[in-house]
Amino acid sequence: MMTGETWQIVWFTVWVSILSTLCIIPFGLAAAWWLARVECRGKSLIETVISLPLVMPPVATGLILLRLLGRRGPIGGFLHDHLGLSVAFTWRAVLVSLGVMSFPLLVRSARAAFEGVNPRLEQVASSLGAGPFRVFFSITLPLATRGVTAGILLAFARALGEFGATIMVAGNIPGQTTTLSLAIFQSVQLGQDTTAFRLLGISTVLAFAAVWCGEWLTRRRKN
Amino acid sequence: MALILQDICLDLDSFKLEVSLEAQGPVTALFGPSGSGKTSLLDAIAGLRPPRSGRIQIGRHVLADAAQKFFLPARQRGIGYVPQDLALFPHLTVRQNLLYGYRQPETGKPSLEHVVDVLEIKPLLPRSVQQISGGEQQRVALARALLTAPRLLLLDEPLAKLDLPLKLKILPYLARIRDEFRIPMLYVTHDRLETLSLATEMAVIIRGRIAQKGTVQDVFNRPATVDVAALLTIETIQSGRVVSRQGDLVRVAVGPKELSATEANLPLVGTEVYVCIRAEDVILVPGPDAPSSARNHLSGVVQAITRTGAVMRVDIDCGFPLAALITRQALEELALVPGRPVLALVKAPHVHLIRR
Repeated sequence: MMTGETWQIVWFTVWVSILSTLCIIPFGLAAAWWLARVECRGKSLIETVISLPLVMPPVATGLILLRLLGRRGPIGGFLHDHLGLSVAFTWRAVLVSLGVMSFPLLVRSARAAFEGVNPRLEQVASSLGAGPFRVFFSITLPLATRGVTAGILLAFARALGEFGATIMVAGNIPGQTTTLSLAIFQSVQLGQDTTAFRLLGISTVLAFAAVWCGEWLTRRRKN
Repeated sequence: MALILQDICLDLDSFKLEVSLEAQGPVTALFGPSGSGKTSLLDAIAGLRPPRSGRIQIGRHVLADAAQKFFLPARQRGIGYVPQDLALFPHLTVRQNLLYGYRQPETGKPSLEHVVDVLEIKPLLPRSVQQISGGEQQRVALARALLTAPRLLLLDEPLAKLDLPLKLKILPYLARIRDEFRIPMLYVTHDRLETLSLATEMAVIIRGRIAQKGTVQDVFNRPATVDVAALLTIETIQSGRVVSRQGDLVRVAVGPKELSATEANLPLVGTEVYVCIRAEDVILVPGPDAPSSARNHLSGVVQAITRTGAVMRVDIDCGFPLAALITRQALEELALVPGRPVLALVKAPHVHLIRR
């Protein structure tokens, strides 16, 4: 049976994942476009930095985030002193860790999609009088829809399942920062197998729905 | 309005492109083999690639000046660019493609209806650009460029990928654009037919340099170098030596034969030259030699007969290989077959000499 607590966890996980994905879309697309279209020195360094969360242990990424966002960290300290915002061990930390962990997946897919768009089309669009923003939104993005959608979905799925970084920077505070993955881990730890399997079932359904949605979206675009 | 390219320099992969050119239009052909830098030059004019040095102007309007570090962005140049692959937007319909850069016409500038009429693409408007044929795509790309009311049209080998019948169908549309809209065109090609039927002026570009420029007539009649002659596919190019001068004629030895030629600047006796004869300037006569106004009478044997486009090419061995272009009817009347003797007549002014 679904208890109120379970519903709260599912609801929190879904909306914080959606929100984090929405937050990274503009930056992710901008970074992907930049990597796909601009040639300059230092590009490979930025490329590496963006990909780091993908290859580093998530717990290590979480530790870095904790250092940055903690009340004595450079970012967390600034936010706390000037805006009165606490980040570490709140839902905001969950949001940040999900965003950081899924960012490279979005960038990679979107970058490949942008690279697949013939630059000649963009050049001709600009010679027809379109400025850079119009070129991007009327030519590049529509032609890269499939790859970009796939990237957004991948990022969302990654956010749904995030564990290591989240537990470092947001902890596992019931009702505040507990996500599905954290709850599954916790119930296994406490020997509550029924709860664990119920949560497992829910996350399977969520993952299935996300992938299916993506397939449906791309197919609809194609026709 | 003239397009002025002043000391344009571009670094290409294997060579440097250096060009100065003033194109007065209406249609200037930029004639050259593939890989000679023509497309890169168009890109620089369109604002898609900055030249390393030089100035680009249309009339008095400066588009780029490398010395001042001034490069007007492509979208502000008012240049209609039709690249070789057309670059139609595949996710848009024909109508959406046409309207992409459409500006409300000032008086005298092309309106949507007018352009659509002239290019006969009205029935295509609602269709996807991926569903229309190559020739139709060509016209849509032209229309899209025209509808921005450009100051200049850049056409990059617009007919290169079309077969001859289709080419002959599209050529009149290009001529109509030239005559109806009076937009100056820079037309990149390596095709004689297109150049002769559309252009008034031409510049021959070989490995990034202008080898010759002038009116189309002049360049075809008087190629400046043997490279230009070969590029213009002047069929007969033979080396020879000037053996004598008689008044305003010179006699040139080519293999075992001697030819008469007349040139504005007669070369001295002993000068080594290339002798160029265009195949359409060779007249074939079946019978024995008889007096005629043509100075050069060359008896020979037919080697091969091939079809090139609408006419027949007859290759003759008259001591050196000589090509003639004649119509199919003439071929039948003369009953020419390989192995048959024939007399070739060439007027002295049609024997063009290039110093070696």
